[in-house]
Amino acid sequence: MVVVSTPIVQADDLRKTYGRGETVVTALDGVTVGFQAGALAAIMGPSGSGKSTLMHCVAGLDRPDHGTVTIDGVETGSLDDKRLTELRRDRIGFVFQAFNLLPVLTAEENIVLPLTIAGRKPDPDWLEHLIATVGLGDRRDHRPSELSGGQQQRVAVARALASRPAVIFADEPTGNLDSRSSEEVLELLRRSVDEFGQTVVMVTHDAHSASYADRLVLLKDGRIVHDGPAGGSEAVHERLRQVTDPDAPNPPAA
Amino acid sequence: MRVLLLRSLRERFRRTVMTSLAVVIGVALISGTLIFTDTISRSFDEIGEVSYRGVAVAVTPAVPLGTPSSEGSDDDRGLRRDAVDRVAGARGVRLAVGQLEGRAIVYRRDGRTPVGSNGPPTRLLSTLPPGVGGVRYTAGRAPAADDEVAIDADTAERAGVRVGDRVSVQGEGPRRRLRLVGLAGLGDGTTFGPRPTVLATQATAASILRRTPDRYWSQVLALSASGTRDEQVAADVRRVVGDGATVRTGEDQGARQAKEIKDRISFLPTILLVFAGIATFVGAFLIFNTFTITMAQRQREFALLRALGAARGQIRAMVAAETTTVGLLGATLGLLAGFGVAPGLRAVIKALGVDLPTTATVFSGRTIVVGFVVGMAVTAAAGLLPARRATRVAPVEALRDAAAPPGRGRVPRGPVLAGLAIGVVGSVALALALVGSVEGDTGTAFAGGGAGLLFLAATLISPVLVGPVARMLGRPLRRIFGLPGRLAQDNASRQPGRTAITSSALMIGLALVVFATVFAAGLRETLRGDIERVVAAPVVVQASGGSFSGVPTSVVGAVRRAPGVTSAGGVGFSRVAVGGRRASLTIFDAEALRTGLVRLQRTDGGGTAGDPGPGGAYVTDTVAGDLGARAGRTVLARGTNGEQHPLRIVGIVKGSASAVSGVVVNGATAATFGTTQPFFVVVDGRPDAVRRALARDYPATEVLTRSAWITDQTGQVNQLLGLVYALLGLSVLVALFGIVNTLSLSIQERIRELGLLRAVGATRAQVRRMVLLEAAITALLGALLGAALGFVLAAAVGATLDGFALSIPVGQIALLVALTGVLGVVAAIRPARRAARVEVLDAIAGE
Ligand SMILES: Nc1ncnc2c1ncn2[C@@H]1O[C@H](COP(=O)(O)OP(=O)(O)O)[C@@H](O)[C@H]1O
Ligand SMILES: [Mg+2]
Repeated sequence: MVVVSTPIVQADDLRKTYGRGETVVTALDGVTVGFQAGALAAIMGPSGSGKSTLMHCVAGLDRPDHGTVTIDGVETGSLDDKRLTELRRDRIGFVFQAFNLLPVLTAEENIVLPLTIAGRKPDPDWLEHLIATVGLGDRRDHRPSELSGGQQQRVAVARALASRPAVIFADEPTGNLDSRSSEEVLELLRRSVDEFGQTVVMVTHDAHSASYADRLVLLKDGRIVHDGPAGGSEAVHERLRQVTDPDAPNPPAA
Repeated sequence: MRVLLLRSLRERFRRTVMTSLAVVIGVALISGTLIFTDTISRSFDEIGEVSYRGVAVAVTPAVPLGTPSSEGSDDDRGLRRDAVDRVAGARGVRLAVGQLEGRAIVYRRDGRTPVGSNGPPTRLLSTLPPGVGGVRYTAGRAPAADDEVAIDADTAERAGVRVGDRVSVQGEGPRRRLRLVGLAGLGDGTTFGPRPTVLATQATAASILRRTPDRYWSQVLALSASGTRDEQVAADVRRVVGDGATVRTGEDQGARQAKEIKDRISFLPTILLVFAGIATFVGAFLIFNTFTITMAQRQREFALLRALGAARGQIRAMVAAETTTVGLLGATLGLLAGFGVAPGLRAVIKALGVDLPTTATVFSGRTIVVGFVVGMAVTAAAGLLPARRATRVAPVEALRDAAAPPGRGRVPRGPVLAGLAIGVVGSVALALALVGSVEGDTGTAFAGGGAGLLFLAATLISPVLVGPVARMLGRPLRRIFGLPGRLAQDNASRQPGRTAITSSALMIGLALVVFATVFAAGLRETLRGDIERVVAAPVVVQASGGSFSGVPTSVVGAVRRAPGVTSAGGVGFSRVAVGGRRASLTIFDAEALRTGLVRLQRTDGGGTAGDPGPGGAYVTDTVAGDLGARAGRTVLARGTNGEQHPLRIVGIVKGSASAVSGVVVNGATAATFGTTQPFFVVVDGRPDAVRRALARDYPATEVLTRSAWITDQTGQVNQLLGLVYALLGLSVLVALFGIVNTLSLSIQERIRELGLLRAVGATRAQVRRMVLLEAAITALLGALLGAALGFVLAAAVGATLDGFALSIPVGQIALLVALTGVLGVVAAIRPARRAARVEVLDAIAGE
């Protein structure tokens, strides 16, 4: 599968190891991947295959041992902590598996948190639109402890969208949710791509989730073993089976 | 369980030590004070013992009014000159020698600057024959000729003089230049205890001290013939000297002298122990908070243990063992630190001008017992509630979702109501003590206990105030700092109980500081009012620096002879006994009263009181009832010389604690009661003329205008205030430890929030600012509550004092509150740095 436009996020030859000597673990073993604007990409792979490590490195939360990451034209390796923080604040949105929200802030305050941190006022129309989109109009003044898990994750998605970042990274955003809440959150991510032209990279281990994506990247042992269109959940399942089945021959990486 | 206990203590080693620190400071202060007190107590015993070594019997003027006191000096008491012959004539006495002792001034090399002393005034002693008394010369020799003196080594060093130099000494007359022939010490030591000492021959001493034959010896010492018992000799001497003198064996007199000094300074350990107690009380808050937080953080651990079958008792035992360890550790470290505190206290007191003698450090069993009991009791009391709460955890808690820190806690009603009730009890206790319904030690206990209960009440009530105060303080912080200010406010009020206790620790310290400040301001104003009402003289002569020792007697005459001086009079203080009741004696020279240099307001019939005349006295309205005094009545009064004379009451005058109290007589009448030494001199004249007249012979005096003198007098309150600040500083320090501890624990608890903040773009600086501002809010909360409480306490105590002028030093209080806020921020620097260092990945991975 070949995409023509230049990717908004580009990672080249990322390598990362943990530990030393006998116990050394290679989490990333030369990963090169690019993510195009306006698309939803899913990263999958067995547990311990390096999904989170890849996401952390690409999102500027962690530094790879080797390789480069470019986000929206900026090479992150050369940035100091302050610049990197500002890049995260202004150009990147995050949705974590759990604990996305500050308990002392209301839903609305959490949504505009990155803007508040930057000392900027949110555009009121955009904010209203966001809150309506995530369906939390009547909950905007509630605190996280008064919201269900699904609602909390929707607030997190709205927060990620609030600053109109270049890319949103979501690490197993539905990992802690029941199927209905998962559905709502995935729906929301999908709509943000379709309606707002948002770029989203999502790590998941669930084939159904991945079927919402435009593209599927499969990792195994820190290497990309498949990169192509996602297709329906059946297709994803099939891919996964091929990758995780030790007997199956490794399909050539795209 | 034992493995678990040890493991968990080791895991939390730093925390355990930090928590113990709260105990350490209190125990160190307490044990340090005890060690210090025991040590100087033994030193004084040794000094007393050495001073009378080989002396069979000591004869001193009878002290008719009990032990010496702060009211006036005791140096102008004296035995008749022929007393020494009578003692010598007693059976069993081999040799009788008299000794003179009186106040003196030693000047530095320049002959103009007195060697200052904030402690007891310098004394002049006449020499004794070799072998009598404990004086040793560490350099040079004893003074033998009329122009020779010896000085104790320490004073000589401070005066900057060496053996062979000339040194100026002054007693009751003009300054004298004498030759320093020796450095003296007592026994094996080099000092005479806290009192700077000058030695001169008997003749020189008598002339410097202006002794007269009827008021001559300070003591007469008798050496016995061999084969006699001291008690027997004492009985024989008693028979010959009559009842104007007290006769004791040398051993008794030494012990007696030691006891007198110890009684005089007994306020010192008491004060130190009070402040140590306050620091310990504040430390208890810190321990309570630390235990509460750590127990809350370990809820899941306890729940898991319970789920796995641990009995409630087992968990309780484990928590109790941890508490005990903290207490033991704190007490042990505190006792060790006490060893360092004791010499530290001595150094501080020496820096203040009083060199207390210390022999080998005395570490008594009592010190150890008290240290451990206090350390353990405080820890146990503070740890009790958190421990009980910990053991009440239900096993299901373990299965709950990851323990997210609560969004916003609610304030339980129970403790607040309890706080209100305790507040009422405390107020009543305090009120009873203040209005004098309970007196003496019980009164003191009521006052202290009442204040303690009020603090406790304020602590229990304060969680309710956390929210509003945080909002109030948060508004400007938000405006200035944006998000960090906003989050700081929320974080401070999310667990009101925790913030309240942290700030309460500060509240106590600050309440006491503000109390002292307001009270001192009131005292200053009261003093100013009292003095202004009484002293009308345009010029006042006092000892340089307002020293407590007063001016030489002959200054009054010298001032009168100064050109342009129309009138002058000495003012002095002593005490008398009237009908068995002790009263202050206030002395004004007749001239001062006659010419209106001092004005006493009459309360019977109005007008200003004049000279009461020889044998006449005024009595202040404050004591008239007690003494049964009425105008026209004659009462019998006994003076410090033991003599009894009739006093004719001329009228009643308005009294005030600081200027005029008890019985008021003129100088001539006072002399018949044994008091001749003036404290200061009131003058009508021009300051520079008076100054010129005194310059040569009395360099240790200062001539001040009325307003300058009043400012100087009231300013002395500030010195005391400074000392109180320093002592309270220790409990503020403990409270700041509390802020560090609570913040560190809270940060650990909120690590994921911090990570999240960083992930979505908060800079390290913003995170740091957030923590610092939270500390500022906590500290300011304590400061505001403390200031309010301190002010109320001062107003309450002041209201019960006669004529107390309450004044509000607004600027000073505002400064103290602001300073506390700053200290809070400084205390938070380390936790804030740690919070800013949190890595995003550690936080989101850290489950
Ligand atoms: N902080 C770390 N220290 C040591 N090893 C780590 C650390 N983080 C991840 N690893 C290891 O790196 C590999 C990849 O981990 P990760 O990226 O979390 O995988 P995934 O998210 O796909 O489950 C695993 O073998 C994991 O054990
Ligand atoms: Mg993962």
